[in-house]
Amino acid sequence: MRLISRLIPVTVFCLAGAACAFAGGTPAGTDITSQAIINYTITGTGYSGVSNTVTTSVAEVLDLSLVWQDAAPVAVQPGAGGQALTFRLTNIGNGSDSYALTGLSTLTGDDFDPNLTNIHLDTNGNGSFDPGSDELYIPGGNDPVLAADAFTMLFLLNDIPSGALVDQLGDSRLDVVSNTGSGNPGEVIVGAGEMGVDAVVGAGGGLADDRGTYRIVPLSAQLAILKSAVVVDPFGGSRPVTGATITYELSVTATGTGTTSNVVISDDIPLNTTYNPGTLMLNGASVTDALDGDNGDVGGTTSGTITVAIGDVAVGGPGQTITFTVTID
Amino acid sequence: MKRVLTITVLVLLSAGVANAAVELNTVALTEITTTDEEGQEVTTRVEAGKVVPGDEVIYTITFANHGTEPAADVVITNPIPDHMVFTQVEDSPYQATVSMSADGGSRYDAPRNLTVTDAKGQPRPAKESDFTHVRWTFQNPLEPGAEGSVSFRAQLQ
Repeated sequence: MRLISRLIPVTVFCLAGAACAFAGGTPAGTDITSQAIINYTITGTGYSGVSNTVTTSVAEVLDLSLVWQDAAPVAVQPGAGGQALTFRLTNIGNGSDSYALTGLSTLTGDDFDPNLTNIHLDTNGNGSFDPGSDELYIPGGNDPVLAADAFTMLFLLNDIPSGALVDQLGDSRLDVVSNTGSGNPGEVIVGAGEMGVDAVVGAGGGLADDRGTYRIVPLSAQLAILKSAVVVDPFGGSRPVTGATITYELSVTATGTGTTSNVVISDDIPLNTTYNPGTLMLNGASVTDALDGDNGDVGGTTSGTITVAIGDVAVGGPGQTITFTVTID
Repeated sequence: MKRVLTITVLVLLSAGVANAAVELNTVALTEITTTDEEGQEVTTRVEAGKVVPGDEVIYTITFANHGTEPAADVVITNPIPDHMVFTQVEDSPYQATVSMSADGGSRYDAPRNLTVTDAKGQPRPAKESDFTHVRWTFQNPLEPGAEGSVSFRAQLQ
């Protein structure tokens, strides 16, 4: 039983390798054999023979590709820590190989230098950086190992300088080199390949690099909404009974740093109440109920919902107040 | 059981006798290009000890008639090695008709006459990667003492 449990992972590995191996070519260590056959006649009698079998072994090609994966520059705020750029490393050779990784962020051709912190592996294999579960890369300690044609994601982490300005771009580069060998394409490293076959440096020199880019976006404020209600019943009291009116007040303020733009507040009209037409107000000024040119509407954008566009809310700026009244059914 | 073994040995012995007249030998070569002292590129062929995907190998099959009688109806056949794709046959001074098989050696014909069945079950012309065997059919008998070679090229996938 122990034997079976040990064999299973190996089998899965081979299947994955075989399915992919086509792209990277014939697997390293394969023996290519050829033998010729001859048929002839001598004075009418047929004869046949074969040649020797010539065997040529397939060496391991050391070749890899590295491609930055984020579709666009990664949006980061000044001063943000541990921001990830995602790269995809593929073994495009024909044998298993392991790789050493290094990052570099002091590059030219960009607007600012991010501060390189470290590299993480995609330990949980989900393709995106998860600080809790994706291991820190330790050079020589957990170098990624890839079978022929296998790939993995890698995350290059940087802190963003607090002095960076909006829309500035900052690059960071990941360098990957084969631990088996690198150098001039075609260079042979005797016996270094999988199963002791010779390794041959591939067209890419046994190494690859790619740059990823960060783009600075404005610091955005955190919004706080304070909602309060005042009930007035038909008898001059404040009990929530049928016929009582409830005046809701939504007070929106910003905290933190910066400005939050294009803010739209929506609030459902509570169940078992009816909106009192014409009571919607923004900062004390009436807003029509219809979906028209002004800032808000009742039930026009979304049925049964108050919608008010309040625009930009800046930290330290005036708060915005929305009020409306309903009657309990 | 002993009886069966004896027969097997006899068959092997008779095959050994048949091999004696025309001997075949195969070598796998690759071409390397170097620059000589005068700056000219020189292509030489060396034994292909190791190859990597994309490399072209030249398989050269030498033959020699060591017998005392001419060998007639000479046909040399070489299966295309696994993981290799046939690329071309090299010219040979021997007059031989080259034919190919695209079905594992059942049918041989000129390459343009061969078809294979595509995924939809329809026949389509065979291409290089479909070829499974290459064959030389000699037009003239091989006289005693005659020797020569034929070659084909194939690329490692």
